[in-house]
Amino acid sequence: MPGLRIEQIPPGAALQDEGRPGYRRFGVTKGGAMDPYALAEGQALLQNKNGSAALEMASAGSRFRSLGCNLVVCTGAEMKLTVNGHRAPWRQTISLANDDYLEFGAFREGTYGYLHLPGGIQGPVLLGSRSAHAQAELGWRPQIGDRLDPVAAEWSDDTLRLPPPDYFSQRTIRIMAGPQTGLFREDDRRALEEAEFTVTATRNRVGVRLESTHGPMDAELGTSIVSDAIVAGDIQVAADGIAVILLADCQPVGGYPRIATVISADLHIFAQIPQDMKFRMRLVGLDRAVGELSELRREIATLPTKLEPALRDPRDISDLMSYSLIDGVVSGED
Amino acid sequence: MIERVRYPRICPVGDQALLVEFGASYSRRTSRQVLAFDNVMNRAPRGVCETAPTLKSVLIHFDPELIPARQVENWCRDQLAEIDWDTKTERLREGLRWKLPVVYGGEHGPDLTEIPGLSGQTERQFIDSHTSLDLDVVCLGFSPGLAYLAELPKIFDLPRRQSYGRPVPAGSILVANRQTVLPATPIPTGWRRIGMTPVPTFLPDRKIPFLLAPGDCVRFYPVSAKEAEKISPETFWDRLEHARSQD
Repeated sequence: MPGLRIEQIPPGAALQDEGRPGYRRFGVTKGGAMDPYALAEGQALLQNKNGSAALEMASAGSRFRSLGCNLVVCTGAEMKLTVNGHRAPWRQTISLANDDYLEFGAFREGTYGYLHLPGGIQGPVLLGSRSAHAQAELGWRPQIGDRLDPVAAEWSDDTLRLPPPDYFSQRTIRIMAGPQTGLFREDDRRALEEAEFTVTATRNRVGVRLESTHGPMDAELGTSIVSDAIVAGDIQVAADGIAVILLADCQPVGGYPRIATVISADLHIFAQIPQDMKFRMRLVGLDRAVGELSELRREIATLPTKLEPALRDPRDISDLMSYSLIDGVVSGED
Repeated sequence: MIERVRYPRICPVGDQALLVEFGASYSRRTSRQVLAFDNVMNRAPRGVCETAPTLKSVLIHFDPELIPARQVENWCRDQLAEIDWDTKTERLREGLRWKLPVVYGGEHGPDLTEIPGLSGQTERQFIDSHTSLDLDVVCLGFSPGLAYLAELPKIFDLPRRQSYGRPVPAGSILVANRQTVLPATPIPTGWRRIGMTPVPTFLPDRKIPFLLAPGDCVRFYPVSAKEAEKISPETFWDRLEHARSQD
């Protein structure tokens, strides 16, 4: 049976799929992959169905041993990836032979990287999803010694790749006003667009604490707000006046006021901004936000048309003389 | 400067949700309007994915590519205009009525001994009050399946503890702020733990995994630890599946 044995895994690495919508009224938010675009890239590269799960990693230092032959692909924030110590490509399918080992080193960009297997990675389905939700204690967080098993029993060995997306360099996040925006002081509201914000080290799948050139906001009204519904993307201002952007695993209700909300189409872009990186926010209207969401969905839906056969770079091939130079060629009819 | 707001108020929350607010804070009247409106949302047009009530509002999640926010908002306004929200809300609620057993005090409710000092009631009086009312499941949140039950008399207006202790087990009966909270998973809390129900309220492998839903009613009744052991949770869950299959 194919699969990967986990020899090293950093804390927080966990299975994620599109999450579990429909349970908000029972106190469960959708959760799911922090970067749904990267999840979709892996699904496209392996022809996996929607709903298939990948391993999400927010730290370096994973090591996997191939049990039998495997096909893997990595997407999202690019990490230093090696197979048996040799550099391996990102966003490109990789065939592993029995006993090969796959290692993830430092991030070159972004925050969340994904490892995919054919058909997705097996794991328990809870409330319709394999997504792990640490605070809610749902889902599976694999440990050293565990196996990652592919759902699919067989796969095509074609080497496919996707061109890198351009959102990893985006440093402007678009936001919308919300029900409590009007409760904030005018200078705090202005600061949303005028100040420069920094992603701090206090971050996880629940939310990201920000620093800003504007300093803390007026948190006085925080004491008068009753718990209300919150959504991923809400920019919450806690009692200390510090803004926190809530993300996939936030609770369904919260008691702090929200000054604005990140638009759906920019959530994964924000989630991938690395620690200490500066960014700005720009207010947009509802129509623009929905337009951007449609555009993102269209891009995701057309990922399979962007797949390209990967011709191996001869410099990457250590045994060039024995390598068949014909195998990688794809006929015009494919 | 706090602006005066007229309720109900409808406002976008991000690009895939609207919040319909019925008041600035929790009140029994507001909550009943929330639950009635949440029930009306069962008839919502295609494109509305899910709704979730809170203490004072209903969040409506929709797919903006299937239905524009304005259309959802207009639909909500039409519903709101048709109903006399002060007098007709009672009739619009559709929930299950539960009688849930609770073992009060002892190891199951170690904070019950603090009650006389906090409320001026004896433990007996306190339990009698807690079991004499039909409580609304006003919403679920904070953690999966955790139910907020309201509203209790003034003697239950207990302060929360300043700091959280060790996590309390699922099924704990917690009180503070004239509410009872019934967590379905272990949670850290500053609320007082006065008892424990032997009936689990979250079984992830069930077709319907949550026993309680917003709009349900709960009345607690006291049982001894020995009696609790004989209670079969299955009867509660079978009832749930039977009732939901009639919907």
